[in-house]
Amino acid sequence: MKQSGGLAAPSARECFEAAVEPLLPRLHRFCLALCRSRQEAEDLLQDSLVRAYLHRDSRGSGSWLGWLCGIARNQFLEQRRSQARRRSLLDSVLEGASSVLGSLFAGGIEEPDPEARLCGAEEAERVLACLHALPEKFRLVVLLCDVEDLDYEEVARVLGVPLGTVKSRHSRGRARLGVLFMAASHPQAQAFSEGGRP
Amino acid sequence: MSAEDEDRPPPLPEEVHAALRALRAEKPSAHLRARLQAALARAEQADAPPVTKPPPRLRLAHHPATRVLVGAVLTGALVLLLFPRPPAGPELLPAREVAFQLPGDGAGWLELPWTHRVHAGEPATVRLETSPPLTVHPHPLDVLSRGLVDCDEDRCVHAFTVRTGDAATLLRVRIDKPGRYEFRVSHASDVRHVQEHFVVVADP
Repeated sequence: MKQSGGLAAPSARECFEAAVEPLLPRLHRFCLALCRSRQEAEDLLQDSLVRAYLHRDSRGSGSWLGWLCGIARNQFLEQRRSQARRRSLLDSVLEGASSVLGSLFAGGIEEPDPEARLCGAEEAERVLACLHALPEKFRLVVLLCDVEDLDYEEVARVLGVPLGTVKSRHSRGRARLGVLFMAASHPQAQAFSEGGRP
Repeated sequence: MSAEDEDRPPPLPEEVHAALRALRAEKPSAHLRARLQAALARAEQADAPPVTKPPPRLRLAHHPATRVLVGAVLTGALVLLLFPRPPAGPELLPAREVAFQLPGDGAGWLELPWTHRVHAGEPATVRLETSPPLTVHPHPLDVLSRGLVDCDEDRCVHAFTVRTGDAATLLRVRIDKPGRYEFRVSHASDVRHVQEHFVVVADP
């Protein structure tokens, strides 16, 4: 077997992939927290990465993660806006209510689809469902602080909100998540403590 | 209660902490990674500038000020080359060409000369993409753990954790016909993260 010298410099795509590769798990979780289903999250991740690649020259001097999360969030909001235009207001209200009430009173979480059951641990699925029951402004802060271990300054940069807002959302989001998760994990104890039948 | 305490978020029950840790283990599947790579490859093709005739030469190109500017840019590039910054992400090694002579019976195992020594003997996670799809055979006793394998029409993605250093795992790929093959190997340990690109030309 013989070897020859270098062939070519890495292409723009190879450089982009190399920079993004270590961030994929975090971005994937970020999309999972934004979206209601795995399929939707995977589509969002793909669309966001393609958009980031096509606009790679517009990236400033900030962190890659912050830039990519910003693109994913904007892409998500755009999709939601276009969906909302197509859907009636009543549908949106019913969907939101059933999600939150389902989390609180019906054993805590939505029934995961078969793929989700295969892919994720039960605990992770449960906490993800509880995160989904939080309003988005709390959900993303809790995810970035408590799952991704980002500090408040970095979270403020990623979400484009003031530091004080991040701290306050983290406190309130954490408190709500704790209540939701315990209710989902121990539905009987919750019913008893609220005066319901044990 | 101090102001610092007020700043601190409320503690979470240990059960919730454990669940959040479990969520941290959530990673994109090999199938999703392959799908993302394919999408980026399509975007790269769509992004490539169309081939056009070269524009006529401008007088500006011959202006002395333009030459000074070009000189300054080239000097800057040279300075950057001489004083490189430490890499922010994985290190990209230049592509290497490997010539492979197929044995008489028409099929053989090619040993990829991956640079395992950069990991100083630490275990490394290897992600090997073969294009077109091929069988990869690290020795079973050498593989510490095997991850997901995903294939489509154009490529196969193999993932496993291997030994490095003197007892490094051999990465062997089965080639059974002449042709041009491409292998992208990403290997990461606590020490380094390196990406390599091999172009193998197999001759009969």
